[in-house]
Amino acid sequence: MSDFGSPPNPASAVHGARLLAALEATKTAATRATSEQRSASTGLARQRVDLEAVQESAQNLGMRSRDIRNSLQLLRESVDRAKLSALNAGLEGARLGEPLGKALVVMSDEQRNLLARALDALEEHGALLAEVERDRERCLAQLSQVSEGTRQTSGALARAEQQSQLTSALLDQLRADFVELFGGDPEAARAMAETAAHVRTAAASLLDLTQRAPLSADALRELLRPLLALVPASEDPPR
Amino acid sequence: MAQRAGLLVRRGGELAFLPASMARLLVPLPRLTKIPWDSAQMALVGGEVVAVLVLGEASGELLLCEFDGKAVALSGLSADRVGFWPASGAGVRVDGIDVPVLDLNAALKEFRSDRPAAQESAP
Repeated sequence: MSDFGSPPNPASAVHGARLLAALEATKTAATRATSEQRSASTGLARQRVDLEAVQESAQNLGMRSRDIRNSLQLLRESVDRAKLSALNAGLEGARLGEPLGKALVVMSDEQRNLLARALDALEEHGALLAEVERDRERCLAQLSQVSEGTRQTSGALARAEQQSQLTSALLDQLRADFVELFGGDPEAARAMAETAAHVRTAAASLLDLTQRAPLSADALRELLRPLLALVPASEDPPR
Repeated sequence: MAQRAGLLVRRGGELAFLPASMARLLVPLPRLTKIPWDSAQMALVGGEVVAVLVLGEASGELLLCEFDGKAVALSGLSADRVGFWPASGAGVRVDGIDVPVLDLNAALKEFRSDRPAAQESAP
């Protein structure tokens, strides 16, 4: 129960109650902030995991690109060989002369044209692949930047969480000191403040009565003085 | 007009004509080996060693020719097409343009005169 010491000061108790309420609200806000920061940290950690998965996919895409490039190179070499074969067939036709070798030369030329188109298409595929590779590199660089940003944000959040926890601890300490200073628990401090207000009202009323009953006024005033000393002076002092 | 059969090649961007009687076979460029004391190189083609005259930057192809009854390979050429074209002067006329015959004699002379001086005193 209340241990306000001597003499209790109702005004201080009221102010104490207000301060304590503010302290409690601040503590609640700090606890909520810590909780929100923890939740944000968890979300950020999840995002980092997702981001790492995307980065890994981009790396795998690079390996696939290399495989495709090797495949294209193999195709190019095959087409080059086929072109040489077509030209060799044409050379045989040319050695046979006209009209015997003419068909062979014509076929060779046709095949050479088709293979030239195939080579062009392969070149185009190679260029597109290089473009995809450049985009992938850009994407990887941006992902790396995002990852770095997330890492920094994560660090900042962790630091903020630490600060919030420290604030909570300090508020706890402040509350403990406050309770020690005012004695008892905060509820009792509030109740005491309210009681003091009631006593002040009652004392003022009794004083008013004594002024209206002059015979016993002095005696009653003597009785009320110590009671009035317990409550703070009102803005309009009793007559 | 007389028709000439042969192979059109590009040498440093310029077209040249090789008669079918000289141009024998096109193969992917094999590994070339330098011949000590000579500017020519050699390559192993179909199990046989042939002398290679380098006429330009490597194109990935090697053209086997027969010149004066001897096998000689040419690198640095890019085969363009094979066909019959009307004769024009010392070469052929392709799509309205005169294409000269690739002068193998000159190329060989160039190689022979290009031998380092030390070769003369080599054992």
